[in-house]
Formats: sequence, structure tokens, C-alpha cells
Amino acid sequence: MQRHYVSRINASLLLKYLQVTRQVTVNELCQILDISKSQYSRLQSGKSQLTFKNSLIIEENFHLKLSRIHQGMISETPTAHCFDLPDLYSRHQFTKDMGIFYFWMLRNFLGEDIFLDFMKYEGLPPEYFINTQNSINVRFPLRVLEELITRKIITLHNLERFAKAFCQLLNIPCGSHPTSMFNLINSVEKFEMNHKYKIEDLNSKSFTFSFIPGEHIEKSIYFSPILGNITAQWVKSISSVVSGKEATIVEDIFHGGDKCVISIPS
Amino acid sequence: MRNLNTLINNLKLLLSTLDKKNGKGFIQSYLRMSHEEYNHFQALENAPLATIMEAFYKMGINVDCLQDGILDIQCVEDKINNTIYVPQRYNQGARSKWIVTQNVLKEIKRNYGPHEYEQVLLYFQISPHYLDNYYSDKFISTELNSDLYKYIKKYLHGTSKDLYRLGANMYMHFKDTAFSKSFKGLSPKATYAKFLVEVVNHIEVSYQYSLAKLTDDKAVIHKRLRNEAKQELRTNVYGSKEVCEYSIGFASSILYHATNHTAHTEETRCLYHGSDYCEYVVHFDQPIAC
Repeated sequence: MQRHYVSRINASLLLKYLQVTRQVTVNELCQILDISKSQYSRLQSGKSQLTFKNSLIIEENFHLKLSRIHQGMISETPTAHCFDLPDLYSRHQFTKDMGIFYFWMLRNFLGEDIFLDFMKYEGLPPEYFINTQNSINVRFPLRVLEELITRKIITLHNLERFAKAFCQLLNIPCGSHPTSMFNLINSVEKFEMNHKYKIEDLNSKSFTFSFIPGEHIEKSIYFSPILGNITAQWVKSISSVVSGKEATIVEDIFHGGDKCVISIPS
Repeated sequence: MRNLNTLINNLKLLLSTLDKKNGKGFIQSYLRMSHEEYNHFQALENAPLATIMEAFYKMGINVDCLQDGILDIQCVEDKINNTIYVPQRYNQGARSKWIVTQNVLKEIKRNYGPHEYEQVLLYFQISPHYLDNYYSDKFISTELNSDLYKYIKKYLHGTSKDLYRLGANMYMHFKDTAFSKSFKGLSPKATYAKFLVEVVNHIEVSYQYSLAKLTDDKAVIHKRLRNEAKQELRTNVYGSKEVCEYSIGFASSILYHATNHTAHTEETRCLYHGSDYCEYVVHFDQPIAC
């Protein structure tokens, strides 16, 4: 049965989407679309419609398909509800909000072309994380980290910078007391279900917690020359940012321990 | 990258041909546009996107098909007259059953979503009615399948691996049928021998298939072009390497009917890489879990 024609184009939403996800300013958008600021305002307020020429320019510059633009599919999840993720990514879909962070890192630090190549190589739809509720398994953050580390964009020295961005993007409250980290550990399942976290000790001098990989996680990850060392370092950096204190690694799987243990001074 | 001039020229040609055949103003009145709207539509550039897309939709086409210049005007007329349609070029020559194409289309819908699926139908100007079971037993040119695989690569960013997966997933569409169940308990060797006979006689008559070698651990299948099809299509070569990429996956999936596994399969010779025939080697001893 053929459906009736419905156009769901929403120029205002589309322009806002481009500003947020592609990080372009209004001036830049006007320049790209070859329109004046008043024309832009009219588009944004819904007083004038997006022309075919405007749409062709958007299609070419932002890699959005014309048929999708006119169906208003850019603001929702365009393919994820129906796209089969490759098996490697769909088994144990545990990472929810975190996926968007790694997606953001990938796109921002590698640039659009390498990002698209990466997603294509991994068999992932580039639009997958437009819907932040879409989940993906732990392979994704690990592959992103691997890519960023291999390209020397992330090093052990600048991890804290990424940890800050991580906390900001996910709205993780940061305080000057280890209790903020304590609260985070208690609610960590909202973000991350790939590791089992446990509070080891909380006293007047320090707060100590540990984590071990879940049963579905391949242990070999922790012995990978690229990723092994970074896992504990990454959690340590987030702990430092969240607690506002310098966290230390007490024990680490990569260096032969049974679990990773992080301690934060009070 | 799209070329606006090409689009405008192809659209003007389409509209003027339709008007010439059906009388001036025919298409304008079908699209229910005012004179001014119609002029804007023809010039494309400054017309609202929604107006243009609606008009294309009413004519059963999309921008990509207009851009690639593959329009079949008869199909547009059939669409306007609410008749079931498919381009004439797919109704001749090498033939395979519609059920093959139907399953490929179902896989596109499953993997890329209903939106992309609809775009495929508009691009190829295929009437959605062709998905009805009634047509499963009818034949269609294998060139349509070949073009569908090329489309997946060009517009859906598919790779050779995706086409392999598409072929390998075909077992899913038959797995609960009596046909599939009739293979249960057969050895891999017997499965391939039986399957090939069924396919050659009833489903895929666009190529000539033969079993060059059949042992307990592998099957070697040869695929050749048919002379009748070449004559009808007036060409020395039909199909494409994309058909082979799909066929390798399909060949691997045959084993599923007997063992619930697919088999590692490779192409060792290819018609589209200078050989006289395609050679697929199916390794029964290298099963892949589904």
C-alpha cells in the first residue's frame, strides 16, 4: 500500500541541528547557503521555505541526503531504529549516554572525513548517535580510544582534558569532595554497565573504589598494548575531575592486578 | 555532487514529453499547480523543496533517478494512471524470479529502513505492488538485481562485504519453507547438488550453472552467460561484478538449509575480470555460525 505524501521539512530545526552538531555559526551558515541574515531569520522563523537550491547546498556541504532533509529526519534518529548494527557492536548493548561522548570526540578530533571512514570501516551508520538514547556496546568507546591514541591525539598526559569534556557533556556533577565521586559510583550503572564497581573504603583520609570488567568483556582488552594501560588511567582522570583531588591508581589489571583500584584523598 | 543544469534539462525533457503525448497542460493539471508554481517547479532552483519533492513523489520518481537520467517515461505515465509498472528495460533478456528481487528489497528495508526502501522503489520506478506475493513466480531481468546491487554501493555506501552479507542472509527468507525443510538431514554434498538443480530449473535462468567438482569438503560451481540472454539483450556481457559479490554470499548460505551454518565461499575466477566463467568454491569444512 503506497502512503500519502507527507513533507515533514522543518527549516528551523534543520538550521539549529547544523549549528549544534556541525558547530557552524549563523554567519558561516549564511555564507554557505549564500543568503543574507534577514533571509536566514525568515527561514528560521518559518516565514519562508527552504528552496531546492538551499537543500542542494546543505546536502553537499553537510552530507545529508536530500530525501532525508525533506522528510525532516535529521532531528530524529534517521536509521538507527531499523539499521542492524554489526554483531560486534550489538551484543550486550550497555553503553548508552557514553556513546555520544565518544562519537563527539571522534568527530571533533579526527575531522569529518576520517570520522566517516572510521564509521564506514566499522560498519556503523554515521547518524547513529543523533538519538542519544541509542545504545552501543563497549567495543565502540574502546575502538574510538584506540584510534585517538594511535593517532597521538590522546596521550596519558592530556587525558584529564578529555575527562573534563566527558563530565561536561554528560552533566556529571563535579565537587571538591570525594562524596561527589561516591555518588557517581553509586549511580554509575546509568552510564556504564561494562564494569562492576565496588566501594572498597571510605574514611576520613581517603575514598577508595575498585572495578572489574563484566563477564561479557574480553579480558584481553586489558592486556592490549594500546588500550590496556589507558583504562585505569581514564577512570583515574575522571575521578580527579569529579572529585577535584588528585586520584591515584593503587592496583591495575594491566600491571598484573586482579582488579583496578583507585584512591582519592579527602 | 549534483548538477543543477542536468536536473533541470532532464526534468524539462520529461515534462515536455508527457505534455506532447497527453496534451498541453496535462502534467501541470495532474500536479495541481498554478501556472506560476509550475514555472517555478520547472526552473527547480528557487522552488520550495517540499513542492518539488511532492511533485516527484506523485510522478513516482526521485531526484537521483532524474539526475542519473535513467527515467522510463512510460512508468511515469503508468504511475499517473494508477497502473502497475516497472521499466521496460527490466522486462527483457536474462531472467530470474521476482522472489529473488523481492527478497533483496526486503533486506534493503530491514537493513536501511523504510525510508531508503521507498527511495529505491522511486529510483528504479518499481510499483510497490510488485512486492505482492502474486508476482513471486513471475520473471524479471537479472539486470534489475545487478542495478540494485550497484545502487547499494553508490547511494547506500555499501561495500562488497555488504553485498556478500546480503546474499548470505537469503537463507532467512526460505528457512521455514517446505523447500528448506526438504534439505534437513542431507549431507552438504547432496544439499548443493539438489539446490543447484532446483535453482537452475525454477528460479535463476539468467545464467548457466554447473557443478564442476563436488567432494565431501567442497563444491566448485561454475556460472556462465547464456547465449539466448546475450542475443535478447544484444550484448556480449550482462550482469556485473556486484552480482558476483552477492552470489558468493548466496552460495555460502545454501549450506544453511541442511546444517544451520553457512560455508566459507570464495570466487576464484570471474566473468567480469576477464575469465570465461565465474568459479565459486564453497568450503564445507569451514562452516560459519549464523
